[in-house]
Amino acid sequence: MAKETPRNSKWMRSYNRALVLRLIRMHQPISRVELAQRTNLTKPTVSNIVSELIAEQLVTERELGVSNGGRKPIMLELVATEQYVIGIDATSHQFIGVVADLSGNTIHESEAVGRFETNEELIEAIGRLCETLIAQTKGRGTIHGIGISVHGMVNPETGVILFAPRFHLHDVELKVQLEARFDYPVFIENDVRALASFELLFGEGVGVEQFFYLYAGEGIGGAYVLDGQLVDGQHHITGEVGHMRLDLDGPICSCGNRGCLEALAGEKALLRDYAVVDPQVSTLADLRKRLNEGDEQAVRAYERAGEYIGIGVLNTIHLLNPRRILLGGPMFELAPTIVDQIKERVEHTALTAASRETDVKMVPWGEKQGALSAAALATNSLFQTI
Amino acid sequence: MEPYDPWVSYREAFGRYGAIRGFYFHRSTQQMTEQGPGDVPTDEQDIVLVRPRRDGVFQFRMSSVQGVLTIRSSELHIRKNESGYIELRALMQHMRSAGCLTLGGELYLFVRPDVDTLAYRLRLIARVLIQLQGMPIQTKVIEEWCKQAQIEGEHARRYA
Repeated sequence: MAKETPRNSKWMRSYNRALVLRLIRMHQPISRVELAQRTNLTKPTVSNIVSELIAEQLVTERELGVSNGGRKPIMLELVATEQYVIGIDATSHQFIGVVADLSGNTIHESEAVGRFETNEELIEAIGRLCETLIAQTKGRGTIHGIGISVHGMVNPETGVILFAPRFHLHDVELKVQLEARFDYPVFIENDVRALASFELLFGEGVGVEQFFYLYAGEGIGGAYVLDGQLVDGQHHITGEVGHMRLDLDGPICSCGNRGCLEALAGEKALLRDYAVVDPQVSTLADLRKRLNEGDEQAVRAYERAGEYIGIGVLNTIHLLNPRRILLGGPMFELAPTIVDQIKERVEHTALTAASRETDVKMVPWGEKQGALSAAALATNSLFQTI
Repeated sequence: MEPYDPWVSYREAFGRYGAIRGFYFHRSTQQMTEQGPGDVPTDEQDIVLVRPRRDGVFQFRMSSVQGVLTIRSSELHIRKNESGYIELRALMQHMRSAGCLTLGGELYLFVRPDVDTLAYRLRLIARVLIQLQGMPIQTKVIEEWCKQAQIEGEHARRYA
């Protein structure tokens, strides 16, 4: 990935500031001396940046450090209170919104049912939820931005939803419209990539410069992080592991191909296969209930899906050779044995001894995860560029 | 003269790769069945070949009409009078509102000329799209959507 080249002193200052803020978040509590060591910046430069951050109430200091014989070093931490980001999970018609702090904790939350058929109606529905969430802060503190995660194809640079399949909407200029309405920067991202962004900031991706996040639920998707940045790709489809073809003559996928991972192992595919055995099971809720009850057919279906996802993970390791694979989504929560299957497959069949030790981890999944991940988009921008 | 083969026509129109599904619609019984290996249509059946896609774009080709009609699902509410296909847009809009419109597809309708009417095409398209989406929508509901779509088309033309 091409790195940006500093063009002027203003850019450099902004870059250093974001770097210092990021290091404070990752290593807090941390001293000014350690910051200077980690960044290779001079101590006066670090001190100047830290003073600015303290003045803006983004960072606070306290005496916690261990003394080496002299005065105890003053440690720096992020200000956890009254510094907010807003996140909205707009992946379905049931929107979930949160106001979160910079450490990824939920401060307020709100839900809304979005009724819309056109781009304008979708923007209006999201805008209304933004207003509700902003009102919940009661004008106290600072809101640093709004993050919105949506399903489908997104251009994160322009903030345009290129296509949201479940909504049947194309070319929604969400970022431009919301930034015209609210006085905050707005960040739009695909839902799985937003989940990876959360892990990058607060979860198992902290300090890991290269990892792959694989989501498995009704569908299967992925996101690739390289050099601490989400990789988007020329046509915004990096990480679409769900459409990795594993079987030339397999079941037909919604994309028009056969044998895609999603058509073999996504929960929608499991439901399709299960309904042949028992037509009474017609919804995902039914299928998941059967699994929880220990129904043999359901357990076997999830295990088989685990085998396919394992192959998908293996292929991903061979293609990208990531340091870590993170597994998130309802399928892993419902059937954690899938994670063991995947680990076993990697340990036994990856190409080299070193790649067999690729760190495969499951990350927690919950209903609010999408909204918190969306909020992380705004937090992420704060730590990367200011 | 070479024997007529809908699959060849389909591939010429939409390309040879991808998973093409074939649906046979029996005119008398109104039954739609998906083609299995070795199945050959009878004279009583019309054929719809289809390949799903997931970009919100629908392309239609009919044996009796030249050219391909392209419709984006996000523009269904815009009543464009494209060669008289207001009704098709209206029908798909009903399906979209009911949450049973698939994510996109390329459809080729092979219909015997003497039964090829707008109403019949709408019915075929609706039945196939529902099959693609895999939702249990009753035939009478589909028929009602088709009827409504035709009324909307007539209305739109009358007051255009």
